[in-house]
Amino acid sequence: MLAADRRELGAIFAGGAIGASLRTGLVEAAPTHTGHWPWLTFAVNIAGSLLLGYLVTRLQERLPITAYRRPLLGTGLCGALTTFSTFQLELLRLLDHGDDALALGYAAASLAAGIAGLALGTALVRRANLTW
Amino acid sequence: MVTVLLVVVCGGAGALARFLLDALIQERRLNEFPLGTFVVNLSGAFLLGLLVGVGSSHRTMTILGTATLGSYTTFSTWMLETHRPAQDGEPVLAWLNIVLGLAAGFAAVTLGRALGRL
Amino acid sequence: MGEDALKLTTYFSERDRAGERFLADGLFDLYERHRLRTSVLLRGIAGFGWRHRLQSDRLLSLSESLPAVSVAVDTRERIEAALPEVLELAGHGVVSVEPATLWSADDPAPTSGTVLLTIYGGRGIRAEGEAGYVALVARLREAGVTVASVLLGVDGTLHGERRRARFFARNAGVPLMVLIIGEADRIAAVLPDVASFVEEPVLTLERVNAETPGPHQKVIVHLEEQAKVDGHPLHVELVRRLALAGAAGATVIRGVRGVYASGEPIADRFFSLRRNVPVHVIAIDTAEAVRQWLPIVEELTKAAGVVTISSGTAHAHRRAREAPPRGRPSP
Repeated sequence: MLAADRRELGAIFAGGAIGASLRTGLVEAAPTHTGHWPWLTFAVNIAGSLLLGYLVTRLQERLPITAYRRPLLGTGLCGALTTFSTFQLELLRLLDHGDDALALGYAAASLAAGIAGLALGTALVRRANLTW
Repeated sequence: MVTVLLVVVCGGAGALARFLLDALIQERRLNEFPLGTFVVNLSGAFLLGLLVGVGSSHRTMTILGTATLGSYTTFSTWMLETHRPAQDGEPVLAWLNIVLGLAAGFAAVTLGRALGRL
Repeated sequence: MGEDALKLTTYFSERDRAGERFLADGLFDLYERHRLRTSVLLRGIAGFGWRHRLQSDRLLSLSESLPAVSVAVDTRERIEAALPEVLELAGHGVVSVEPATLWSADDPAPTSGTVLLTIYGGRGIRAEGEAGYVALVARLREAGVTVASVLLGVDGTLHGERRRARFFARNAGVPLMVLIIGEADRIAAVLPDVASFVEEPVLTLERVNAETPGPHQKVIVHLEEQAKVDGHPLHVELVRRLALAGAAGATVIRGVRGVYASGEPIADRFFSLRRNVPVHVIAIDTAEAVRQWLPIVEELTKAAGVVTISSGTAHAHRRAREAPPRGRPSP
């Protein structure tokens, strides 16, 4: 059905495996406790957004066309390193626990830092002074 | 050890599923709204809620929840697809993506858990 | 105005292949083999072509196959020698050949008409305490040119040598392309200075808006990223309307810095969300088809945008059977 390149799909799978393993490993090592700020998810989401902004911009605007780098690093690694579902579940659990302020803060900070990270990654590629 | 292997494979599969579903949804139209990522993220949040609602074991949560659904859904692409329209002078699209994503995603995980508990 | 030359521009989809390799790599390997004076690979941000599918860089999955533009310039004989191989490689791409001259300091300056001056070269040089191309844009603004735009290449050749951007490299030697449009007297005034702002420069001159005959015409709308019409980005609207009007194709490329008439220089800035940079919408069609859709372009660019038209010959080969684009479900 899909006319996608098998190697491209393989690149997505590989990147996804790496990103997911990293995140899962970290979560197992440092799980979030009830009523606390979900540091790990926050960290991977922001880091992943920064990385994606940088990689996607660099790969699309500054480098020659390559087949597998973006599927591997963008869709795969960054896509799997970051998570939306866990973020939402954490918001739900915070509210369950009565930590309304924390939930609100966590949502707002994740979004603000996420966008800022993405923008920063992008700006690092496009920066004004391009002699280096 | 088997858990590690499952995490790796499910992590890869989750990302792949995301790509395929997104491609399927975005295929024919230049949808200004990033519907593909939206559907993927919402379905992932819903399924995660469901897993919690039915009372999954820690191991199940790790493999299916953290590894698979965590990889299936994406925060970074959500951010990218908000930043680009904002930068290109389409702030309405950016706001819509952020607000709808947050609200609908939360609704999805809540609904999923409620259904799981039935 | 200089040495008789030809500009060979190929418009294609970045996913297009020549055998196992990407078409882009095939083309630039070819230019390197022929040791062409200069060539540049530019990556587009939006467009449509013979498949009439709109592509855009706004969504991660839809940007799987954006347009790419390859420009190569050398003397007439050398381009004509490379042309048959290029046509064979190009496949679905559109190959446009336009007359130009290679200009050096011994050559006379243009005296009349509207001129397109293009400078190819490396970006490393610093002049007057700034990056060379920054100082160049400032100089051009002073000189009162109509349009100046700096586009960064990701691959190319310069004086026969291959310059390809790499992941872990500074990439300052990869050719950039500065497009400068102005009246002959303004261009003549800057010609002696401009070469010093760019490393290993190659300069070409072309006549635009000159009613010269040719089977095909290339219409370029030069505008700013932030130019709007009815609340939508103008370049998006232009492409949409051209597609609706049945134009053969359009490609949109984006610069990193530029200036329009005596306006403020526009450029990527580190601390701004909204960025304003030069954008160029390029459409090639038969002279007759251009007559049909040009009014649409003129209407949309009433308030913003500079339109240039040049003549040339375009070669476009269509395959008998449509092949589905890579990575997308079959239609």
